[in-house]
Amino acid sequence: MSMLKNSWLGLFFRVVLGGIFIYASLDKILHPEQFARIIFNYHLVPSNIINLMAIILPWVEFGAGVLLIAGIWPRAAGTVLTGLVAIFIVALSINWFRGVNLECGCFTVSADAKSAIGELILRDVALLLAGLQSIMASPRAWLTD
Amino acid sequence: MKNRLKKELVRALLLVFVWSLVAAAVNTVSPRRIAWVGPWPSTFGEDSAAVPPSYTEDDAPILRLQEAFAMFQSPEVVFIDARDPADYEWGHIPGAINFPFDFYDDYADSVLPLISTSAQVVTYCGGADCELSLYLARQLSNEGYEHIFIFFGGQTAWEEAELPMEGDDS
Repeated sequence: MSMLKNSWLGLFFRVVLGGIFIYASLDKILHPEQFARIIFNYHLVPSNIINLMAIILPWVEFGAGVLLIAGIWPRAAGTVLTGLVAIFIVALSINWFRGVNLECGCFTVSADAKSAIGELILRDVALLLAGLQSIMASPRAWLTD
Repeated sequence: MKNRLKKELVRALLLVFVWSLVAAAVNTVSPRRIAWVGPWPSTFGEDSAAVPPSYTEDDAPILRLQEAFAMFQSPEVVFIDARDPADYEWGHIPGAINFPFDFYDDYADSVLPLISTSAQVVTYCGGADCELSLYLARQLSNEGYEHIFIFFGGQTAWEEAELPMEGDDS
């Protein structure tokens, strides 16, 4: 439990998690059209909000990532990113169950970037744990909370 | 503790809201802006049995269920199941060869010699939501196959029409 709440470990996870999300958002911010196509391929989102999601989601990833690293509202930012990861896990799992082979749209909008869904889910579970730790870590290390 | 939680959740919502505004502002002025509502076919309606959006006019021609079944009657036509071996073994179109696109390199050496490049080839996978058949068709086209067709209805349409099956579940 003390590991879970260790504030320096929390800082580490915040930088890693925030950095990953900032990095992941860039290609999607630059190519909203391709990202919309990837969201469509998940077959989970009603067609009339696909574009809206492609516009907003990358900026929320980016913004929450920046705040998390900067230590501004870190728990709120961590909560947003952890919530996103949880949603990604559900979306990937549903498509895994359906047997759909899809581009995850995680870090790139390139159509060639295909990975085994099982690996993607494992990766997201690791991110989820990092996110939970960053939320639970006691707010001592380098926070402006 | 409860207040603390509430405070963080309000902040989280505010964070999402503010960055949504940023996103909307950027999408208003950016040269890369996209329409607020895109021309996507309804995911939940009848159109969902349509063609994957990554399909282009340069890709191999598409077969409807009736056309696929008509070709199935001809012994010269080779059906290729692009799904994973487990799915294939569970049930597939009779006589279809398993060539899992996800393991293309592992299977290419053993499967490709079995099929003449002049043969009529039909690729399929799980159904309209599945693009393995499309990717396999593209790959086969690169290998020199000239008569490729894609049956996007795939295993799902075949099963729903109660056409003959082969495999553990048949």
